[in-house]
Amino acid sequence: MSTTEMPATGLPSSALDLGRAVLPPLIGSPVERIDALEKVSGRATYAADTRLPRMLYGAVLRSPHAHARVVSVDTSRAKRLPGVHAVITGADTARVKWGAFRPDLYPLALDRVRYIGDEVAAVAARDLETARRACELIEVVYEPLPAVLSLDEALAEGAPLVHDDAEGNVAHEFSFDRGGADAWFERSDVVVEGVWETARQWHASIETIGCTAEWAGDRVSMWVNTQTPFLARQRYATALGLPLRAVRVVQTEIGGGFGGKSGDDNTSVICAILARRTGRPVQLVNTREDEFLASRPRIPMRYRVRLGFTASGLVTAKDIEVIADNGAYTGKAQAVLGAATVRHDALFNYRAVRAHSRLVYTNLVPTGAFRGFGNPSADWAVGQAWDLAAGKLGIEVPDLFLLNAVESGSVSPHNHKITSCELKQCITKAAEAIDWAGKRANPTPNRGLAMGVSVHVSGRRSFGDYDGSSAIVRLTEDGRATVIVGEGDIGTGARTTLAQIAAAELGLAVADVSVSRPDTDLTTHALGALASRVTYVAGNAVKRAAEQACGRLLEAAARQLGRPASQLWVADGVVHGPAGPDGGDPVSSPVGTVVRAELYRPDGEPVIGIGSFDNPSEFPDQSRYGNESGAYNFAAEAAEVEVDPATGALTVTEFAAVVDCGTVLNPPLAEGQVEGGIAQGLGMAVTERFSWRDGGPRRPNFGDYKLPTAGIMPRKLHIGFADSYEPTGPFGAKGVGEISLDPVPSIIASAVADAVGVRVHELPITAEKVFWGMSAQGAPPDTADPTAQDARSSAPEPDAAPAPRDPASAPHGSASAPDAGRGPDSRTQEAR
Amino acid sequence: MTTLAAEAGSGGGAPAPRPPVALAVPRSLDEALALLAQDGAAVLGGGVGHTLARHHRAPDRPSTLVPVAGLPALAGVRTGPDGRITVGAATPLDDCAKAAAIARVWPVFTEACGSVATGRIRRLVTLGGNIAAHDDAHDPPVALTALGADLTVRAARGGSRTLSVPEALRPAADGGLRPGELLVAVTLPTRPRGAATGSAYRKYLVRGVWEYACVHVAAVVGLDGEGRATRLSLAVGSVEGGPVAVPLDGLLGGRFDADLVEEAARAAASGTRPYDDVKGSAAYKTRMIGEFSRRALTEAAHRARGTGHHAGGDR
Amino acid sequence: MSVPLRFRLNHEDVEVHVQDPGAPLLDVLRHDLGLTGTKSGCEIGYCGACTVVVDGRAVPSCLQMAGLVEGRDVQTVEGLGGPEGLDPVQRAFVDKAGFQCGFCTPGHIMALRALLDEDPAPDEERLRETVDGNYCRCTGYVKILDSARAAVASGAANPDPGGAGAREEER
Repeated sequence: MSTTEMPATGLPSSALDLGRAVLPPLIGSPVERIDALEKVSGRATYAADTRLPRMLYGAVLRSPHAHARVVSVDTSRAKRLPGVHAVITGADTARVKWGAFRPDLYPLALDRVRYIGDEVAAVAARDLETARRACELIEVVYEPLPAVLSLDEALAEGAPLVHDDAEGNVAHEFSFDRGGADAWFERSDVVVEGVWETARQWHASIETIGCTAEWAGDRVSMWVNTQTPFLARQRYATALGLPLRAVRVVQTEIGGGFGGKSGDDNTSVICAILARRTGRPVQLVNTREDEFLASRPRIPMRYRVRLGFTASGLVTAKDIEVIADNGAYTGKAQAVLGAATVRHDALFNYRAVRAHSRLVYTNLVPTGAFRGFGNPSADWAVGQAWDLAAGKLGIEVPDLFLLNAVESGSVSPHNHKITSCELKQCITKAAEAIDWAGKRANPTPNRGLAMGVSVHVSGRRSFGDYDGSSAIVRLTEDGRATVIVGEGDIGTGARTTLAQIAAAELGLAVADVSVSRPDTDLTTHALGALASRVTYVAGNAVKRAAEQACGRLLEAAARQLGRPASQLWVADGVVHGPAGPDGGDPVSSPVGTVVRAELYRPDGEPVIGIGSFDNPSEFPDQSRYGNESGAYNFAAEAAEVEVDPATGALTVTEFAAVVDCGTVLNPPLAEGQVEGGIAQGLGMAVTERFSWRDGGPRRPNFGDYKLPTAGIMPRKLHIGFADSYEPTGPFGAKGVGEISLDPVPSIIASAVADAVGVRVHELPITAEKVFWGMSAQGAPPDTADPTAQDARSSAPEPDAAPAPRDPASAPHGSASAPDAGRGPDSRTQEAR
Repeated sequence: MTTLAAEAGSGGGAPAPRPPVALAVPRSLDEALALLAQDGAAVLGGGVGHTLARHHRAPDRPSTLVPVAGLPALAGVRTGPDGRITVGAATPLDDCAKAAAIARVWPVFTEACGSVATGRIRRLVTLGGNIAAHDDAHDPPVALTALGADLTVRAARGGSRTLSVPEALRPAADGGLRPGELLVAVTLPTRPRGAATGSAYRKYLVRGVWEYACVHVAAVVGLDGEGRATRLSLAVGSVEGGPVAVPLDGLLGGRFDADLVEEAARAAASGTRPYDDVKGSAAYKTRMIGEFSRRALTEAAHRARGTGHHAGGDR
Repeated sequence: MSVPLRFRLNHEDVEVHVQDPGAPLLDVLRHDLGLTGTKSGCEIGYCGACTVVVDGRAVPSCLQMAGLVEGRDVQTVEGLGGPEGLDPVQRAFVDKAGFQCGFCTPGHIMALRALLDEDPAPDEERLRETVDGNYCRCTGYVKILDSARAAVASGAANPDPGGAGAREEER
């Protein structure tokens, strides 16, 4: 690689000392899930499986209008239906607005509905059929109001306001210019630029959001499938107009979360109000239709991206403008927009970065946190610009990445301090896995090759100046250990990983360690499963608690066995000690015996350890400056895609992912995270979309919204991990829950561009968009269109392809808005 | 008969819950027809349509359902003395897709039935229920339209009549299936002697995952010894008024070559009106109807010549 | 206001009084019979989470009208395995980490159980076709397919189809 004259960057060049500890054998072994038997036998109790005596069932009536004044709600007929116990409206609520960052959501609409799906009334009845029937009997009179059904409509001069206090429909805005972008662009030899747009993507956990609530006096217990019981409790208390102490949240088994069950929606709040009103336990579980209207999907974002490079391929500056579709309510969208704006800058050695980001209200389904937390949007848009740049520079993408990738010791323009970093190793290994060189040397017609990279956090300091975790490890008199921690498990196997960490530290078998489920009354406080944080943050806390418990165990054993604690160790559930100085035999005592003897001695004590860990990170300021996490994980992924030139349909023929998540604690679990993330990335890239009408999905169910199935997963799939060690992580581990999803859409788009020369600028990458892109290039002779004569008159201009598309970017009511992308550059005449 | 019914609620001034359905299980075809003649009664095949209607809270659901799947008169695949294959209307689509007798003669029908949803759903759905659902996105009716199959329909009064699929799917007033009528059987034509005949079904799953088709086309091609087209049948689904049989009589007698295929594909694309939905715009579907017509015709001709491969749908 | 419905459920004869024989079997299993191992994911036949086995065939219980199972044989995940251990298909999902959140798992397991009862040695395409009928949002299907292959390799033929539920654990 040639050296280029570049001014000093201010980046430290020396790698950090990443000395590694010797790892116990349990670390890195494929430990069986501790919840395996419950889950394969159907015994695991998910939200809808909760059964309480005298329990009633709830249903919600939703707005059919994107924006309307609620003139009147008549519940009298519904209330008279036999079996109905309560019908509630906004008047029955505390009339308090709530929300994680910008309180703007009522539990039930008061006088205005702001999107198709807004909650208007709810019913509790003896069974679901009766509750749903009662909803049909509620009579609501609406006065429709003008609505804003796209970013452009929302930002237009004089647009109707979604919320009266958000001028110009802007809910949140920030900007920064670090390093002087203009000057660096001036010094750039190559500048690439484009606009890229994402669409709403729903978590579509197979289990929908659900809650069962029961009151005892002035206190409500809520069994909820929430990822974040403690954060959810805080919000529920606000929404219910109650002090925090009046709300207890217990996590049920969770059938998938992906950010969608992080407590920004009204379902649980409504459930609690119904339970109070009826004086009986009430269960409210979203139908799939409810889920599509009431959960908080991925935020559609429109990026204008500009990147500068020197002729030799060193990146100079990045300038982005981001407009994000908040939908009707805010939830976590403003935090997501922060990550979507800055996170990417911890990937490459940018000399300057500038951004302007706006979160914009629309009368559409509210958006929020989804696996990746803005990162997939950034990786898509900025990744596309990098792919264009590689073409312009004449440098193969992996080489361009290697030339600019961060390393251990790098510090991003936002003060993200990179400790362990094997990004370059990931890039090299991913290129090898997919045989980049071989495929480039022997190209196959209609097949394209592409690579993308990503960086993710291991915990993120954004919910107040705290990203910590604490844990209690109790050794039991039967020789087992109980880990009490409030983080929970949304399906990833986090509880198994924590059990494994505790077992490794304690010298017990994993089977002898149980891990609590979160209960705001019983477990330690925790932020929960978000931001790929549980392994890293809670793992450290559990490890420290286990360390302390083990120390106390050995102190007790020292007294019992007559050997100094420093000479004792635990193996296979037994405390061992050496022969005594007087020549006696080596000593040993089972852990349970030691614990029991310690409890039963005069003034005896339980053997308990506590541990806490706060992410060594900074609470970012208003401009998002600050080291958001103590450890960053990295990935490089590559794909080969084949396009059918006659239809535009694509097939991912091969995919390779190499992830740097530090030490891999449990290989099958880590692989599962990577594999599942790739599938969701393919969904975001290719299959997942709705057809919209008047501001709502036409059919909000799995008939229209297609998740990837087994059939479209790449037949050749390579999953690998970088040899890596994170000095601040538990046994060297970092987060792994989200990163594999992040680069997928960009990779698929680049591979399609490589295959057939069409670059789609708006997700998802449908066959139709690719087809029109190819048509605009001039169809190859073997795909000449028999209908050309007839079709030409009605067929779209290349820049105005005809499909209905996400209303986020389409003018309201337009059925002929551009689908394939925007402007001439959407056809990738620009690429290669 | 046995009746499996709950007593309807009598709310006395209160709004009524939706009445539960009654299942009136017939022991014979005649009994079924008698039951179906009653007001509010409807045929219950595999039950999928009724279960979905219940989920979607469709208004005007029938109060009495008459399950016909257990009636021997409506079951199974039989080859008659004239060589024609008759499929009982209560035959599950999975059985239709697995019937070797059908696959040998009319792979277009085998492929259409086998392309529906998943095997699990094909086991529930009956052929008659699939046709009587009046859904232009359904696959088997497209194949049956191209084949020119005969539907045998019976009613308690008025005896039996024979309809084509397009006839059956018209409004009742225009001669289509009427309330109280029961689709009893579907009879496939024989393959003509003296001409090589092939058939094929092509279904375009635009997102690569199973769902209703973006575009689906059924083709039947007959060729004489000189390679001239003696039969050209092309039917297209998921279009307005579908399935639509594309008129191709003007091309009969011509040499079956690439030009003829292009002509036919052009006719299919220009003679059908697809609609915008999540699977694509009408304009895109029009182009794809051309493409998949070409593929279906080409494969049908291959099969007529004995060179075809028995591939399934494109997905 | 209910009608009796009699069928065989997990090797036992049951009689349940249902409000509406037109309701899906899924609702009867979960609400009337309290068998919550069968999951509801979409109620319109797409996700496969509610898959049960009726007369030896896997069906989505959300589309299976309850009234139509009168006199028939129904198996749910609760009927698999027994005191002696797991059904070989369940065992394979444990061994190969074929689940994450586990919500779709009973549906996958029942679909594969029915397949293996019908064909103890299905080829790769049949396995894929079966797995393709169930959504999973967590795993990307890789380890579910691994589990399916492991179940086949372990000779996971149902040791006692339709029997009293005493199945030997096979590893």
